[in-house]
Amino acid sequence: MPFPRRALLYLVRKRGKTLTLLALLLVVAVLALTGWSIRGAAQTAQLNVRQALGGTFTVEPDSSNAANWGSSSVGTGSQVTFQGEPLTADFVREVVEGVDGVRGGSGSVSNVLIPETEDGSEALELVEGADGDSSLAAGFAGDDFGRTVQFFAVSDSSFDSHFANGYLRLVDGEPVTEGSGDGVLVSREFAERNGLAVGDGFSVRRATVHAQMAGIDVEDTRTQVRVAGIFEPTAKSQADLASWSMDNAIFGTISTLDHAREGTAEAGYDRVTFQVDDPAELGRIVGEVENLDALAGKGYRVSADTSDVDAVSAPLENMDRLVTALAAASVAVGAVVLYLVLSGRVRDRLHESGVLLSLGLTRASVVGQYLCEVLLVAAVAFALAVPASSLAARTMGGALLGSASESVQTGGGDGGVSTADGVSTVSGDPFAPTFEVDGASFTDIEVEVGPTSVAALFGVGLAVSAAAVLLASLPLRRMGPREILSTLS
Amino acid sequence: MEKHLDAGAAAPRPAALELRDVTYAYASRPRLKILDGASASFEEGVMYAIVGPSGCGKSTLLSLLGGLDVPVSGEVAAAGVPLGRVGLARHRRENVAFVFQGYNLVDYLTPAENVALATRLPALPLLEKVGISAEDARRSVLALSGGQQQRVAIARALGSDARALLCDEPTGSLDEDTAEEVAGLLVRAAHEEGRCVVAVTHSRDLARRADRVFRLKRGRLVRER
Repeated sequence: MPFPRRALLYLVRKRGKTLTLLALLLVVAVLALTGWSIRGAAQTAQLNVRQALGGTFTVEPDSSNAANWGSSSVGTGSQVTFQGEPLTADFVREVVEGVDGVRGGSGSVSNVLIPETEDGSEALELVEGADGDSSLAAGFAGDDFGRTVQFFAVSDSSFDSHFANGYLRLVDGEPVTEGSGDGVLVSREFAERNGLAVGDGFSVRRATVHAQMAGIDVEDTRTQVRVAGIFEPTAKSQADLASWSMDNAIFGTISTLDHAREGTAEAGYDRVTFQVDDPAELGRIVGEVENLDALAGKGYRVSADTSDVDAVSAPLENMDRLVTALAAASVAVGAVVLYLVLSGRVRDRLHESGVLLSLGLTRASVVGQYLCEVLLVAAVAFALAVPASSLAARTMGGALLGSASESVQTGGGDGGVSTADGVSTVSGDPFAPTFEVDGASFTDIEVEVGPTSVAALFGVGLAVSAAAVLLASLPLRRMGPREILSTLS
Repeated sequence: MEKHLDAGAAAPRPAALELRDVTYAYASRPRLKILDGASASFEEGVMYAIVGPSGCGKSTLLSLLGGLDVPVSGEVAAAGVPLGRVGLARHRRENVAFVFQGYNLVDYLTPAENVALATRLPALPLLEKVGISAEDARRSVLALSGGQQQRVAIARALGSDARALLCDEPTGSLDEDTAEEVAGLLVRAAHEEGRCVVAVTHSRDLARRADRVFRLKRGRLVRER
């Protein structure tokens, strides 16, 4: 009788022992697979957080050194400007091409403008509902300043932090670059309210009060623009004035802004934000950027603050460590318990082993039968563990990840992040819109038992089971059949 | 004067089993020789009984003949070939079959499946030959009486191709009538099937039915009949 048949007959006829072993293997497998899956989800969440937040650094004029700055009069007022070389699209290209690991970057400078029809006869309708300071709004009610929106001049909207960090998503048309001319991006709601589609035109101009301060006719600041693309916010935005919310924001080129506000192009971008491929490489990349000829000793500051990532990642990392430890412990304890149980089984069956050996069966055939029994039960247990773990992982993982993500909040002018205690870790333009993003968007990960985990369970589980049987069978291999039979007779 | 046997010398062909000047001692007590220069030949078609007091080494002798253990010196041969050349597992599989006092059936197998462990022949005719019905052949062995279990063990031994049946107190656990029936089965195995049957026993009845009787005395085999 071949040993697989003996193994099957044993499993069928010794149901109690078979079910006990099945239950043990099932519990160990479910614990290990659940832990492994939650760990995988936690690591994915961490990766998402890093990719969303951690891979950026910013180059901007160093405001802490007064020598870099100078004051000049403009109309009835004055303005402070950077005295060094301006940040331009050429500078962005030089950094992207000169330093390994930099995915791309975009310069950014913003101001407020008023959107109107092409001929300027009617103001475009703004999106209401965004929270704002009502007293501030009341102060501007009698002036067209209350109809201003944020205009962001960018060198490449794809790498602008609003888009790169995922707060805004382009849903139609093309991104805006320096070569886009009069092209602009507007929000879907703004476009729908004003019947705008990709290719349609409208105009922007400065607020009357700004034109008066600069001593110019407001009509001279009017600039024709064309809708190049339409975006959707993925998060609720908030601004001091409701009109400055992201639903009313316009992304365009620096030449457009320069036409409405002369001198902007000459002054260059306020800051350039770069995206890197791997946040872990940020230190090296910043070091190389600081030593570039275009930057070294020219009054710029390079900042790469990873505290936002750390703040967001900490709960996830803690959970990762906890789950990893639990999964490892369950596997270790499971392996020990499995060994003890199998040792007991082999010891209980020493007499049977002696009988089989006395009948001329080889030790390989006897051990093969025990191995076959355990591997068959293990295969069934592991197969049952997949749906059980899936359910457990979704339930437990959802709760754990949800708990970890509760401490994640976002905010800040240009996609900055703040921790649960409200401390802003990335400062932005105080007048620019801020975001309130549900923290779960970073950690909204589907906790699932993937094929890799299942393959690992079967591979490692069957190997551990086989090793436990072989270890437990050592006495059988050391003892002769007579020794076995005489010991037990 | 004790008479040392050399039955093989008279046999027309090599004996089924031979002990050639075999010495055996337990590893834990190497100076105490259980067997000390024992020699004997066991032919096919003959039933042998080996008798002697408890602890004299009868079961050890059977283990050596069956390849369950190896002697300290001397050799055991099957059909003239030393077991060292045959291989112990192969010897157990091809040359000998055991019948134990405690039956030694595998408890999760039916009688038919227990027989199938040792043979590819159909199990039911073998079991019917020893008085086990087809219905009983499919029950759990634990549901059978002691006599029935011993019959199953004998059927398992008869089902193998082994020319020698090695029986360790085969009637030791049985009542008188059942023991008589089992003894009859063993005699038939020797006389009708031409097997070499070697039975270690304390039973005078079983020894009386054997063709030849050896007594194990001071580590050597002495023929009594």
